[in-house]
Amino acid sequence: MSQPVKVDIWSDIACPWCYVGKRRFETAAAEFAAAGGELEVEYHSFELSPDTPVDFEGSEVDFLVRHKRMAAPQVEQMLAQMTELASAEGLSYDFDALQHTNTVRAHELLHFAKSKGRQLDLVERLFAAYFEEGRHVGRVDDLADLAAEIGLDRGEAVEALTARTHLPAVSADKDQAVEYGISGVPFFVVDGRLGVSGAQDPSVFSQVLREAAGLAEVSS
Amino acid sequence: VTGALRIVGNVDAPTCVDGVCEVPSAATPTGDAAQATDDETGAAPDAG
Repeated sequence: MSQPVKVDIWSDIACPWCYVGKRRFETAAAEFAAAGGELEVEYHSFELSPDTPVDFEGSEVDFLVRHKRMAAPQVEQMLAQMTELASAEGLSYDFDALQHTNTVRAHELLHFAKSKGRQLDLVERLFAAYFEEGRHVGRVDDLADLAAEIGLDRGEAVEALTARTHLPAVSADKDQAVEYGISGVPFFVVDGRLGVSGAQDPSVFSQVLREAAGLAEVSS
Repeated sequence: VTGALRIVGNVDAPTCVDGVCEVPSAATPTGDAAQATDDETGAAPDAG
C-alpha cells in the first residue's frame, strides 16, 4: 500500500446522517490505518437547503414543518429516532438547542481551513457545534469564533468570509456533485472511481477501502 | 453507475436529500426524501 487512498466526501454541516456517516467512516479508516493503509481525506461542499435564511427563526421541527410540509408529530418522532441513532455512535444530538441556518458560509470556512491544512479539524468542530452544542454556524462572527477555537487566525477567517474568498470553491464542489449525480449526502468517492452513498456500516467502508488499495474485490 | 463512478455498498444506506433526512422505521417520510430504509444487510442502522 504505497499510494494513499483518496477519499472525497460530499456533506453538509446541517446533515445528521453526515456526522453519523463520518463516525462510521472513521471507524473503518482507523482499521485501514491499523492494517498499514494510508488515506487522504478531503471534504466537499453540498448544500441540502440553500434557500434557508441565515437567521431562521424557529426550531428544527418548525423548519421541517414549515419548509418541508411535514407533520409535526412525524418530525418529532424522526428527530427522536435520529438522536437515538446518533447516540449509538457516541454523538449527543440536541435538536432542541440546534440553530437552523444557511450553511454556505460554513462551507466557505471549510475551504479556508483547507487552505491552512486544517479542514478535517474544522469539519469535526462545525458538526459538534451545530448538532451537540447549539452553536450558530451561519454568521461570520460565530464561524470565526469556531475557526479560532481550532487555532486558525480569527481575523483571517473574518476577512475570507466577508470577502467571500472561497465561495467559488464551494460552487465548484457543488458543480462536481452534479456531475457525479450526487443527490443526497453523505456521499463518498473513493479513489475517484468508487461511489458510496449514505451513512454505511463501517464494514462497507472497510471493504471499499480495501478494494481501492487493491486488497479485495467489492461487488456493486 | 452514477456519472463516472461505480456505486458500491448498500444502496439503501440512509442519506439526507433536499433538507430532509430519512430515518429507518420512522413514519412514512414526506417531501422529496421519501426513501425509508429497511434492509437486511446490516448496513443500515437499527432504529432500535
